Amino acid sequence: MAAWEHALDDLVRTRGSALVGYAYLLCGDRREAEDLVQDALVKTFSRGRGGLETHSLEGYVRRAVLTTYVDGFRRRRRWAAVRHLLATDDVGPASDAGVAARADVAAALEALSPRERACVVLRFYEDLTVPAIADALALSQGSVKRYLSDAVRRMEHLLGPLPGADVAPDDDEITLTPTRSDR
Amino acid sequence: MSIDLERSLHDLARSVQDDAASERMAGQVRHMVTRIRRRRHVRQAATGVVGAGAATAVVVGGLQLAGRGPLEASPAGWSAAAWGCEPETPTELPDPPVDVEVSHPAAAASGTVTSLVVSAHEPDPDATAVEVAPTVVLVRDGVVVSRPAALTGTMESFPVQHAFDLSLTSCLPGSAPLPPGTYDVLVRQEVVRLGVQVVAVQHSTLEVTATREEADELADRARTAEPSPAPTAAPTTAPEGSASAGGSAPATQADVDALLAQAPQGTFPACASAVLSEADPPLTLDLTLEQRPYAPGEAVGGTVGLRATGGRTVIANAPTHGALLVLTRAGAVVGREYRDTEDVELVEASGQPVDVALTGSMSLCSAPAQELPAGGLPPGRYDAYAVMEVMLKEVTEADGTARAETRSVVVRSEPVPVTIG
Repeated sequence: MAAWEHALDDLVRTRGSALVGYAYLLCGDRREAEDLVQDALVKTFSRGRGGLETHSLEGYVRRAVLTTYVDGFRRRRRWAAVRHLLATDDVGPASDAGVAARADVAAALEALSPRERACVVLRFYEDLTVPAIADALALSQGSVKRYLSDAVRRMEHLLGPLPGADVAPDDDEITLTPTRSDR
Repeated sequence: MSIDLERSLHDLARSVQDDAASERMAGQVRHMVTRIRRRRHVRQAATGVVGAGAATAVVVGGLQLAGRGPLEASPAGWSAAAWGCEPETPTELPDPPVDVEVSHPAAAASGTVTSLVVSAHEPDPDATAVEVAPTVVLVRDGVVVSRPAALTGTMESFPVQHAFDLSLTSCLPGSAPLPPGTYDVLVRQEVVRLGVQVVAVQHSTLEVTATREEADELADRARTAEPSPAPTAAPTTAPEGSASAGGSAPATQADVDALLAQAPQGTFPACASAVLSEADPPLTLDLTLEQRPYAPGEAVGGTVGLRATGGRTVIANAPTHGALLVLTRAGAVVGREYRDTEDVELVEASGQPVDVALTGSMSLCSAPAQELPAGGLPPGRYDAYAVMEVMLKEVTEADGTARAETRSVVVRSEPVPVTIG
């Protein structure tokens, strides 16, 4: 087995589940997330980089997951056409407040456009700054701010106030204004 | 009650991180390895990856064989004063923030345009960012002699790859063809490291020759001398349209017997494996072959019908190359071509057959597998199957209940007797 195959195997076994979780935030479906991660792994390892540590590889794969998602995951439309047939509930029953919030957030994410959703995940899950998000998505910082502002406003319309969403990081100028919400 | 968005997102991500997901992902590693090998092979075939040291050695050898050195071969003569446009003084960084890789043929003819691919690998993506395409110029004896290569495209990969066309002509007015000789391909890549812009550089060697034939010969030698970037025990791919075994010697009955002596081994449809038998397969293939004797090594193409069984509707990822023709004798595989699954596409099958491509030939396979057939199968009777490995996505039973699936299954047809001879 070549070194890169060991690296791939190691990455999948140690970080595969976390990568699927990240992809799931973006695409909102467990099986689709697994496909997304597989495509990203293939893209990443097709370049044949040797000597990379797992954490570095994971960074590449996460970027691949992100751009593959934003650029249009090819199975999205087809999957969306059949997903209602499936009995599995990806987020499980709402048995307590935490799970209920999780399900509500999942539903609210569904209301966002792919780029809005990507901005929200990068900002509030990956904890990236606006410039970093702009870099990752090849957008201007102004566009990122607009996407974030629109996304937060839309999610607040569904979820109520999102206290953390109006806290701008020190190193960028964004000030999200949930008070503009039309709720 | 207000929702903590950050915490909810983390909870949401963790909600799908379970052992089953890990197991499913781990189970797909082999499939991913196959796709990666195929992509690497295609990339390798598209551009020869040039290591500067290896290329230089090969180039010098080739020119000495021709009885002349690079400078002696120059009809126009080389001098930095006559050909240089500006001095080149790149700043070498003691700790390069990125690993820049440049790929191009080892040699190209003067006056032509050669293609290059450049990528910049960031060892630490959190600290560095490659935001713009690199620049590429030709340098000799410390002076820039060409115009910057023209960016022709950015390829989907990680790290991103940039494709360039580099004209082997002078940067001076008139754009005269450059004198033959050894040039330095210089790549500059701007990198933002921890918020500070720096420049990484990379060099490789390009031999500019007087004629295209000479360039092709040198480039071929460099490719031959170059080790594979990812050596593997298993084959990487079969060439497109490799169905015919016309170029290989026909196999003998002794070859077939030797293969059968190794059977059963491997998983169907691997060479020498036992034919798979599944009680209630969700999918099947309908194979029809012409009722006539086939020639040893004869290529077989066309289509086969893919359909779901038992009133089901099945959605699956199937290889874009379609189904393979597999030949068996005494219940073991003796003939199949190697095909790497580089890409998959969604197919939806119900009771009505969906056409998928069929490729193969009446040729002996090898165990362990090799890219090319081991020769045409000797005359005799065999059983032929159409076989395709798919990854199930959803299965809807006849009563309308649907379930998600993520397992790979080998779909095959019923056996069809064929005669070779």
